[in-house]
Amino acid sequence: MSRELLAPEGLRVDGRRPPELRRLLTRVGLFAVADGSAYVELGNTKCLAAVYGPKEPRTQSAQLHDRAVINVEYNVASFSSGERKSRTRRDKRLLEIASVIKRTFEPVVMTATFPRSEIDIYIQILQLDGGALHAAINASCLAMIDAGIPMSDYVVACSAGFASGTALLDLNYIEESAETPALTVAMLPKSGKLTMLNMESRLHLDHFKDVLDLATEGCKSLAESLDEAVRKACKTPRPI
Amino acid sequence: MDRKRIAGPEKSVVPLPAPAPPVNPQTARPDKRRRDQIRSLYTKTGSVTQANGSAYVEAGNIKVLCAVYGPRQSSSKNSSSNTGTLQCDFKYAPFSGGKRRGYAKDDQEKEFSLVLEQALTPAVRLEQYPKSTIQAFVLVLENDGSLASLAAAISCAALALANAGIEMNDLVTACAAGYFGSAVCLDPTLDEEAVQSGAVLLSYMPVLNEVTHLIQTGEIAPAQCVQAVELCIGACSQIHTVTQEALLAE
Amino acid sequence: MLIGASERDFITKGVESGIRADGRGPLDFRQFFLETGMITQASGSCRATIDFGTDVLAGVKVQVGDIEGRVDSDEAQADGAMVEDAGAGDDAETGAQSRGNVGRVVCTVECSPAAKSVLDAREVDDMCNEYSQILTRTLNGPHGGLDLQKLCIIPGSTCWVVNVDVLILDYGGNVLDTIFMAVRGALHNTRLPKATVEQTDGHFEFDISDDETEILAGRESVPVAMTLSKIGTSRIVDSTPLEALCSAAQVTVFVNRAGNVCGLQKSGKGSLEPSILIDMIETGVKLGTELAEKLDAVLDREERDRLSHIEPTGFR
Repeated sequence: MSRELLAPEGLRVDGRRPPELRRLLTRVGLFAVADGSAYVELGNTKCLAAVYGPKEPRTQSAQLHDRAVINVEYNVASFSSGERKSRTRRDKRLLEIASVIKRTFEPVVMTATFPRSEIDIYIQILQLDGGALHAAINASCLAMIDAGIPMSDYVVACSAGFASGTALLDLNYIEESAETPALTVAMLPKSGKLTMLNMESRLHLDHFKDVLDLATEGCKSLAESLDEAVRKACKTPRPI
Repeated sequence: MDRKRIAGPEKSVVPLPAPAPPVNPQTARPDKRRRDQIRSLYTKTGSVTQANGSAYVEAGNIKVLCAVYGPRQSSSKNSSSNTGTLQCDFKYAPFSGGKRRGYAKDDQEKEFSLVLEQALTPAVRLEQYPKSTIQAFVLVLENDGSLASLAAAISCAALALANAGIEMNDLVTACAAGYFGSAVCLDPTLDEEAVQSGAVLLSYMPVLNEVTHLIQTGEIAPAQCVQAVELCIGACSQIHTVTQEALLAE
Repeated sequence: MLIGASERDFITKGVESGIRADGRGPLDFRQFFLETGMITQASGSCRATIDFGTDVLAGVKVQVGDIEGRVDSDEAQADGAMVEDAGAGDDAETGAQSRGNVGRVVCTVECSPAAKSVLDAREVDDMCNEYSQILTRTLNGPHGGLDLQKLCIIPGSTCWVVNVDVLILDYGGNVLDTIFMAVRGALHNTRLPKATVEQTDGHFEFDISDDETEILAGRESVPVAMTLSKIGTSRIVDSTPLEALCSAAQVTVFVNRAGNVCGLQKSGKGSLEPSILIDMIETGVKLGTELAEKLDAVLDREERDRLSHIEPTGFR
């Protein structure tokens, strides 16, 4: 199975070379009501993120006296994949991903600046072609910046996998569903620190470093694109 | 299947009744009513002794019972509000129609509960009941036309609220109408409902001359829609005289 | 959300004298944008945006399903087994029944936390539930415009199920009207795979084409929604969230392009005098018909763009 993922000419199923990212398209600030919003398109994976806050929590019990609470809602549209899947809000898998994203942002966002308040991050996957998690993190990062929430650095995420003896960057749906060992990392590009590393499959330790290095390389290259997107968004005038 | 309550065989089939002859309300209605004639009404208040207020309404074959509890203290969550809340609960009895209904509320019953709430709220003086909740439970014992039984439920709930001594601006009444080709018939029965092309449900406060709720389905020319609305308003006033008398008879 | 007494007074008095905070007249719509076909995985998709306000994405996905809507509950499975036991000979009979040969439309509405600034969590759930019901009720009948009989593949057993999923991405007032715009656009954009049915000695077999598609029959008659809100003694269309807080009663009129009423729905906690109600219905029909024509012009242009392979901008 894994042999088919890499053609003898060294090209992947979608024609990319192993250390190549998919086409990244971004848009910062799409919504009028949300405090910050962003759209990320990675190949055929399309993701929206909106940030609301910092604001006063609706219930007293949901607040912390010394810092802001981050709430993440992660949704996958039922028309996003080939087969229609209707998921409820209480879907365990979606809740798990939401909690991963929440923990990714908690160390980076300066939550102590906003005690007794909450920040809501809403993520909607519109189309799914692999890499939903890192698209979601990148979109959330742009939306947080658009909302003007202080963070110590960008949070940039990327995935990498291992097939046919080669490390592959930014897996698409076909590569993901072929049970390729894969990991997703979220990195702070300035310091090079990792804030999240997620791997749910078996990978030999000898190859692990290659895959991790490739993923961090991917993060660095994505960080430049995201920075460019933010700078561009700052220059375009927007109505208040 | 609810195995705790029904100890019947696992596989059972409801016997199919012989198909009823098709009705055509444009020419003659099955129960020999005129098109603009509603079913004859019977109303009674205070039929549930344990409730703060209750009412029973019979319209032709439709039998509806409503019990009102409250005003009582709201749950702690929304107890800080300046106005009270009215909660309505609409339920068909399992034996109310041709096919048995489950005990859990289905989507239609949930929606009808919301309609009840929206139809009655404008009439109730909720500003007089801060931090409290008034609950109205409606049970349809026999169903003969889904919108007609909802209409009966609204009139019945209004009567029960009045019986409970809840302050109201007016006694809400409701009436349904169906479209059959170019004709509009008031208060359609279940058989008639099967052949209608659309329907209207209107709830109305006759003394204040105000409409509290309106739902319409089916494609219809605007003029005919207005005609149906006016017919329903007329019928609501007729129902009002009956429900008013029931209150006076207490 | 709460609104101050003086702000309420300001908005109400303004509307009564024909002035609104954003400079519109009482019966003016905000500018809206419509785009179709940005979700390639869906059978049809459309995003409707009101300028500086509500943003709605509707996606349509068609599936082959069973007639009668047998789903996964225990009871339903037992039913399903029974029907199969009855044998294929009954097919012709069940097909003759009025409900046995139509497809169906299933709608769900989901909302982003954007609405949380105006409503609390329970109210948001209620709103989504109510809108799903209204959509399903309006589209799933002869008055919904779509030709449901054309969605039937094998009478009595198999049909197309049109799943309409609506996402409220941003919440800036007049949500129901925007939802209907997006749904109308998504249904207009939907391509149904062509199904061919073959009959061999009483048994039906069908084949779904991979490349041949057809449009949904009757898509041009899908109604639009037009909500009129009564504020003070006057009525307005396309209310902003603040205006909606000042309104005691709303009437939504569902109108198709022919100018026929396909549904009415009153909402809100207040009541309406019959003469005002009838005036609102008539105004709604007039404005709704205009809106439907305007939408059709936009959708036709979108369709020409898609046919000439101009890619939609989407959210970029």
